[in-house]
Amino acid sequence: MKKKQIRKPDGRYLIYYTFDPSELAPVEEKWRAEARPHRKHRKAKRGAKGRGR
Amino acid sequence: MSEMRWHPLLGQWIITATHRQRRTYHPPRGYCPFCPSSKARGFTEVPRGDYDVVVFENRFPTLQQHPPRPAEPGAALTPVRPSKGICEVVLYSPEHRQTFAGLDIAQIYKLVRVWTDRYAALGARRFVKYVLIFENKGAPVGVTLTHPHGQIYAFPFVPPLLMRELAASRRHFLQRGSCLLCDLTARERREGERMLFAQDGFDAFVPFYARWPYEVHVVPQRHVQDLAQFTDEERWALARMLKRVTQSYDALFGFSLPYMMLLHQQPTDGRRHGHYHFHVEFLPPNRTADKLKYLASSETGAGSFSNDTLPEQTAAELRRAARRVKSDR
Repeated sequence: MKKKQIRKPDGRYLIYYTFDPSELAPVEEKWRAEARPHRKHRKAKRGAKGRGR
Repeated sequence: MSEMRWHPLLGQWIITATHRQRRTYHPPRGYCPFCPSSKARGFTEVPRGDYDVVVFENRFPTLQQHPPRPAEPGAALTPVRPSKGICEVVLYSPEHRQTFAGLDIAQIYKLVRVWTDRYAALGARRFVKYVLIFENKGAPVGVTLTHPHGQIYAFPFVPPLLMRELAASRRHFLQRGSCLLCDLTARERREGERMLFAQDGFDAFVPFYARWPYEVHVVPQRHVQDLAQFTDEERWALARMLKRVTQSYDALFGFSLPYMMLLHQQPTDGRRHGHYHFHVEFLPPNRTADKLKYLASSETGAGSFSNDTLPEQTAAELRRAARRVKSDR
């Protein structure tokens, strides 16, 4: 997360926040690895298995 | 004129801020002060549009970093203080037509990171005792600027409702040795009929004691007091949960539902509040698709809420609405 603070002509501050996509990817990946699959997806998976039999 | 006047009957500060009467109310058609400046639009609050999230000091703040001296001297029973504090605006996106529910999870995660940063930065100021992060959404709660945004108030005192919540939490902890919200959430999980979602360490439910028909509380299962204690994975999970709740709201009546969203965190007053439990409260004013709940005499004048609906029924409606949501990306 990068912050860039500027001053407006009337003296108030403004902060721009920007994020590098590379710093988000590991969080999402870790979350996905730890999160249980969505119930709908689990059901779909079970359904797909069932159809194959 | 701006000052804090003590209300001796209620035992709380009332903030006067007469300059706010001049604040932007329904800007000219086609002009949004929160869209990035451009040749076509002219100058706005934000010079550039190449950002993820922007925070700036409110042009018409209720509390000010350098407040004027109080205009009135006050008295022993009605003391007066300068209205010292900070009010910020948080823009969720450069895109004007976006809403919280429409943001993708990665964008909400960025917002949660920014909230965390603002909580820490503002809370570190000696005069700041409470950092209130909130969003007012929709005309029924007084919003006239539709660009997706929230606000932050850095108070020089702990606001009265939060004070009551802290006192209840502390009392429960001293009497039973456990966290009040942990115990209440465990009951919601056990009974299930008011639960909306339980995922990735967070629970969302219409509380047993809801004041508003479609009130929803989002509570982390881990006992934490503020955003700064979350891991990044928890911030991602919170982003996902907040999106799911707001998407369900929008699916409820088929329009973008107005609401007030507030993050309840521990104060930044230098004291220990280990008994307290972070949570997010959503308070939508609608009681049906076309009827609003008004805070009239009983609520405003006496502080007693009546809810025209049953939380068990509105939770079921919200669960049905959630099933109509196609994606949570």
